Amino acid sequence: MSAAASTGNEKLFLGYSVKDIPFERLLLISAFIVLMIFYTFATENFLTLENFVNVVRRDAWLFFIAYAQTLVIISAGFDLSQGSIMSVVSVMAWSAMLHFGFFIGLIAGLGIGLLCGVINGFFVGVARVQPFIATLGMLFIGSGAAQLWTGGLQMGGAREGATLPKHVEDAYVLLAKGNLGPIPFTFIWIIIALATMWYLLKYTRFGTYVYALGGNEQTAISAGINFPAMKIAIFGIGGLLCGFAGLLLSASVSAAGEPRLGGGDQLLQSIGATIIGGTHIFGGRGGVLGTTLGVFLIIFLVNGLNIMGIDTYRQQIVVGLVILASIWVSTLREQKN
Amino acid sequence: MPESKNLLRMMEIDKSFPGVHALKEVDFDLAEGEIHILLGENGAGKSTLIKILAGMYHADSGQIEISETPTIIPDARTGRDLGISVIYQELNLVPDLSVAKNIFLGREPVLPGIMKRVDWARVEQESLAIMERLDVKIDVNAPVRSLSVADQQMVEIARALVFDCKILVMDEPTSSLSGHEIEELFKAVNRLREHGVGIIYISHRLEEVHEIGDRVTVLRDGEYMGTWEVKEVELDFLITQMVGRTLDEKFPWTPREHGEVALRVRGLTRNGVFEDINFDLHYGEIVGLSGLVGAGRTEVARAVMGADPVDSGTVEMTRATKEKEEIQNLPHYPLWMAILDVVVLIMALPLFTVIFQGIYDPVTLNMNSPPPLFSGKWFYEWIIGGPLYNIPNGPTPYIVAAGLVVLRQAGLWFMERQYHWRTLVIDFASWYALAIGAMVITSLFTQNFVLEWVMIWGGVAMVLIRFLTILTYERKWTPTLAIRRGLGLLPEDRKTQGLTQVLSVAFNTTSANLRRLIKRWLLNLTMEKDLVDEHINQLKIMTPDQETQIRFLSGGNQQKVVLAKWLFRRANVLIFDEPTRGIDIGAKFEVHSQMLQLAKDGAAVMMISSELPEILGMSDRILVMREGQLTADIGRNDATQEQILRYAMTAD
Repeated sequence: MSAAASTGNEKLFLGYSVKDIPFERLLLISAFIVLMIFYTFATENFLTLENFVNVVRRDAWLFFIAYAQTLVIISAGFDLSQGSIMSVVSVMAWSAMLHFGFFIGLIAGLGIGLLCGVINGFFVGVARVQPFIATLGMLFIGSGAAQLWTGGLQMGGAREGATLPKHVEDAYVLLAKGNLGPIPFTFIWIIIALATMWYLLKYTRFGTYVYALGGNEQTAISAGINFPAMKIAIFGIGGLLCGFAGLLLSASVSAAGEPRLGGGDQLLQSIGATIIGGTHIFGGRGGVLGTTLGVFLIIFLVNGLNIMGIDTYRQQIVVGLVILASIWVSTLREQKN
Repeated sequence: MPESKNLLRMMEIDKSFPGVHALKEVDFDLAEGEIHILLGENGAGKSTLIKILAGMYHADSGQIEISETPTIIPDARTGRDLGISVIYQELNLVPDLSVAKNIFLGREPVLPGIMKRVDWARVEQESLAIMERLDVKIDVNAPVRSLSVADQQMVEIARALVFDCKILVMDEPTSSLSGHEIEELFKAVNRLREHGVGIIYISHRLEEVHEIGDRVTVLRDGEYMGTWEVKEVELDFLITQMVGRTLDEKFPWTPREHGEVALRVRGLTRNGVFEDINFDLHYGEIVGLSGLVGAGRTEVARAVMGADPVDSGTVEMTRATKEKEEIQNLPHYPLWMAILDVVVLIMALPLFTVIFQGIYDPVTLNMNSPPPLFSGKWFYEWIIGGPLYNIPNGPTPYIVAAGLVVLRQAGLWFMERQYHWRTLVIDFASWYALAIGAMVITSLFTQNFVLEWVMIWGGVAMVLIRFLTILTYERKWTPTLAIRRGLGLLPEDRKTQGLTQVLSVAFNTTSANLRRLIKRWLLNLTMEKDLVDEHINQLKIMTPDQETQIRFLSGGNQQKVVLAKWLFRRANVLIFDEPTRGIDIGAKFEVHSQMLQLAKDGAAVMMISSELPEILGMSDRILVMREGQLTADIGRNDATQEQILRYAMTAD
């Protein structure tokens, strides 16, 4: 019964028609295009392949924590501990690499991210602590642990007596800066993460339950969904992605263990990208495609401002305004309906 | 009924809650393909019976047989596995998921393989098949959010069918549906009956009994009154079976003189909730507002209080002020407009300076001596932030100011469509009348320093006056205003809406009117103690002392503290919403006595209650609501339980 099928059934891509694209998404895309056009005329080097590749390579970590945040927010949660998880992973993975080599270090980093996420999920799902509080706890624990581990110092790089073996460090750097033919590795990581998350959310029971938990928790539970297991899985996947983001960021910055790696505005950017991407802050709606657009918007907005020579403080104000505007638009739309 | 298999038999079900004997040996049975209607007043025990069936409560005694086999239903899950589905009034769906996903939530079929892909195609097909079976046209890929309530209900029914349900319980399914939607629902229900599903149908609409019911069972006060074939009974007979709750409770009612009108409600409408509510409430009167749960009684009370928006209608409180307070269709003074007004004023200030040249010449200003207070110099120095050395002589500021004014009026026109054109004219005119008036008055003075003073502070006063003018004709009816006029609402949910549980009796009593305790900018705590004591004694609140936390008090005493709060606020029009729910008999009598005492002292009292004996026992006049409409206004002496129920349950 395709009673509601539109009359103009122009298929765009993978069986989607224009009408399937939500208004917010169209607005976001057009905002992005307007931005691109503006920068193209306002600066000289913006619209070059080199710039594009550089930006996406440098800010690749943001995609991963934004996907993690999207997953958590759709299920009506909130993850404040992303930055801390990145810091912990950075120092622990570095230490593991020092002693056991690159691959063990990589697995250790991801494992620690996963562990932090599972602990978050345990407190949210089993102990029924508010996600906000549970992850706030993890935020402090994580950043404290990272600094305790290193004595507050950066590991590797400038420090005497403790540098990664050359081949390990090369491999580590390659993770973020390497190329497969003409394609940077980071692109591949991003596409793998995006495809996996998209598939998870759209085609699996898990994804449906994530939306159900965010939309109406009581209904979801009464439909037989295992709340604790779901929360542990959601935060666990979130932690894993944060772990990978931590590895990428430390690899691209200095290939060192940096205890204050995630102490900047990484968390805020991931929330910003998720929200700009159209994910509803109270859960139930949204997706990783939107978040991808949100990340693109943020990183290129900032990149363009950088090229124009506008300082960081003003950049932050602009990002804040964009977040406000995007939320305002979706609120207006909601009130209208 | 033709001979058909018995699906369900509940025998001698007995259930007590602390203080209430909810079900007294109730029998109930259901056959395959039967629609069995369950009738009863508020609190007759229908919900309890259903919850026992669904496994949410456990019967104290009695037996349940499903398909002739004795069964125990320990929890909701088991109930569902046995094929019992309950559709509650509040729908239980995930709004952002599609219809098909909602129908299959928790039971998605997964395709074989490592990818664990859900077979969405099958989900869609089967959802379509179920919709076909119900004969409804719903796009199964649309999100549930976009559906009407009626369609959402269909989705719930479809969900029940996926559970392979044999017994479907519907709790007041038609309460929020329109005529056509009800027909659709009945069609679907009949289709289910043809498929052999047994349906237990709870309803407050007596007309529906004959429309779709096969048999009807009546409960009264937790007692089983009987089961009848629908064809064999009249509605009047059913009503007499439902009423007749014991009237042996004592009510302290005495006749009183009624004063003038205290509260006048006219044409109060909130689309979809209540419609065209008209009533008067007099001083010294107790009016009972009766009706079934969900008829819109509480909503009317909240609207009268100004707590909820309404679409049209007026509430007038006569004694406090003579002026008429319109609730809706009245513009307010938005903040953006106020800001714009101030900006325009500041922009226009040079205008005055230029008209009366020479009065303020910043170029010759002696910067060593501070400007005299309240002078134009002071204004420029401190408000504008320094002397304006370049007060423009050209037309620019006036053009900008005029532009802003035009912008403002245009914005008013476009953004606030509910403004009446007259308001726009008044708004525009008053602003300019004030501006011109100020200029004319200013020009009467010749001495410069007076001019300055009048000019600047006159301008500020102008804005203030305008604000005040607006207050007189642009006022929204809000709880703040209602309370100021002397209206008090004792909410149904006193524990959370009426009181702060973890704070003291004294705090809860005085917090709504701290102004009364303020002496020389400070709270006078001695006075608080005395006044609170006075109220505790007057209302006979049983509390160890004033500082006891509210949560340690019994329900009756908590209710009295809410009352004390309003009395401390000197409210004289009081609306009691279910004042004695969950209160024991002794405290009930006291609350009733207090209510009567208030009325004797001249307050106007309105009492919303679901208990007919209470309504009949305490009211001077009884209003009955049915589905958002006021259906009756009966005097105390003419009212009977049957009559009230008839007005509450049947359309005329």
